[in-house]
Amino acid sequence: MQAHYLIIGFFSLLLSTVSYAEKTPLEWLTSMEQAHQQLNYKLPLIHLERNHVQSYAFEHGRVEGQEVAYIASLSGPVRHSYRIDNLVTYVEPEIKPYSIHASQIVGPSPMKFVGKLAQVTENYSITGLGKGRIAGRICQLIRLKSKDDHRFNYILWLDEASSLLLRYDLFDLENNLLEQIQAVGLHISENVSANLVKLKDSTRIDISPVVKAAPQRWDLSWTPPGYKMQSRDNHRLMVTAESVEYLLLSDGLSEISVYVAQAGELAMPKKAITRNGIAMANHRQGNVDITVVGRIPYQTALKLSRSVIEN
Amino acid sequence: MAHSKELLSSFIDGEELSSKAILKQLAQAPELAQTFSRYQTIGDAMRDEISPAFELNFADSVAAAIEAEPTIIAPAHIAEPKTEVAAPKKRADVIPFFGRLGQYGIAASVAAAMVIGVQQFDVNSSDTMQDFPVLQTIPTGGYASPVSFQAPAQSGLQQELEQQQRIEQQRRMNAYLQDHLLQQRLKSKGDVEQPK
Repeated sequence: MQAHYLIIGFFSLLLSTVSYAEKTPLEWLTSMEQAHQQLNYKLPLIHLERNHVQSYAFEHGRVEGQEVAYIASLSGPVRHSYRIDNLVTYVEPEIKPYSIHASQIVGPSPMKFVGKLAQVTENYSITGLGKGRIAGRICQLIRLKSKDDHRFNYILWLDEASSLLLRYDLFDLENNLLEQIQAVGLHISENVSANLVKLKDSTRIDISPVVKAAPQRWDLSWTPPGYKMQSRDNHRLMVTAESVEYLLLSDGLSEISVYVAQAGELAMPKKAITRNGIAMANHRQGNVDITVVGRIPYQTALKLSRSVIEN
Repeated sequence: MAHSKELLSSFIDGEELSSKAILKQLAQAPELAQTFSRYQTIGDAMRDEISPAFELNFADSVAAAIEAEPTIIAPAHIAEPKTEVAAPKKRADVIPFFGRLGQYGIAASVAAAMVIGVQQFDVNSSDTMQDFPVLQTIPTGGYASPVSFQAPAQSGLQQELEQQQRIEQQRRMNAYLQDHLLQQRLKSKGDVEQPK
């Protein structure tokens, strides 16, 4: 009996040595990127945030050389979005569908880390955490631990057979879970689905905003390491119609908005954090209100709000 | 009016009162009906049971606010000559995006999608309590109870003023949060490397 176990143990050790021991965590991430862009697959998933659960169907495929990704919510109002190469279309209740040039559908997606490898390796240390099981499949767990305290940490679960991302967890600096997506199944197929073929030929209205170069009065004396300026403009907030000077920073995985507005009648509280981890830091400087919003540690938002300087 | 509000507040708090009398008063005073709806909403938010109806109303009110908005969406920078503001066609050329669909239509839909996340300020962690003036649930007395007007008249007025300010603050904070979510969508970059 004991000999049996020994033999089984020996064989499984041999197998894992042969197929996986050579693959480093970074190589896993590289093969994940390729798999997500090349395979035809369907991936039903659940998105969790504190007090919030939503189920989605995700699909990806290649139709006549073009990449098509599709995600639809499965409960509540009908919403779906799809991306054809670099054009993302959002279909939502009561408004006409619209498309925006973007590399990714904004929102929960198993492709969140695709195309971000350079930034991920710059900002995170990457380690393997062993194996786990999700959607009935064996996974490799990869931990992305921030090299500093300016971003949150991830654990990625990659399907051992296909390298596809089946789950990710986002943790704040105190290791509280902020967000999770988790596949509940995975169907990889040789042929692309009829749905994706249909989407590829749908009509799309491109409304990508043309960012108008406006004179900027304000700038940043400090930005958290790894974050780059992605966009800046002057616009107006909905609801309050406040005019703001706006800066968008990104480290590839999270975005930070920096606003400078005319000081309001009431100062906003210095600190607020939503339950799903979006921090807001408000700071009054002379006759302007500075607001920093992002899913980042509050201290980073605070420091950034104090780094706004007049040009 | 102050007396009516006190009655109303007690009624919402679940005290023994004739509901008939309250309903009659509500029917007669529209402003009281508004107060009623507001108190109820505040109460719900404090008990963490914001209903789907509230969310829908919220999206509606965003849409309504949009409706009432002047069509100038891209704010003219102070330094810009006035003539450009008066030339709508030119503006449409500069930002065709606004002309075709209207930023606010999209904004309302993003808000509707995100409202669950946005509304949930963490009011339960006691250590950061003073940092969260948003629909605060624990009055200074130290016990949890819905807002009520049992206090003497002048401090009741003050409390109402503070509550109004909190609502106004929250509205402004929500505006920033929603804009942040909207900008992520509008300004995400097209930099995925396509496989060769």
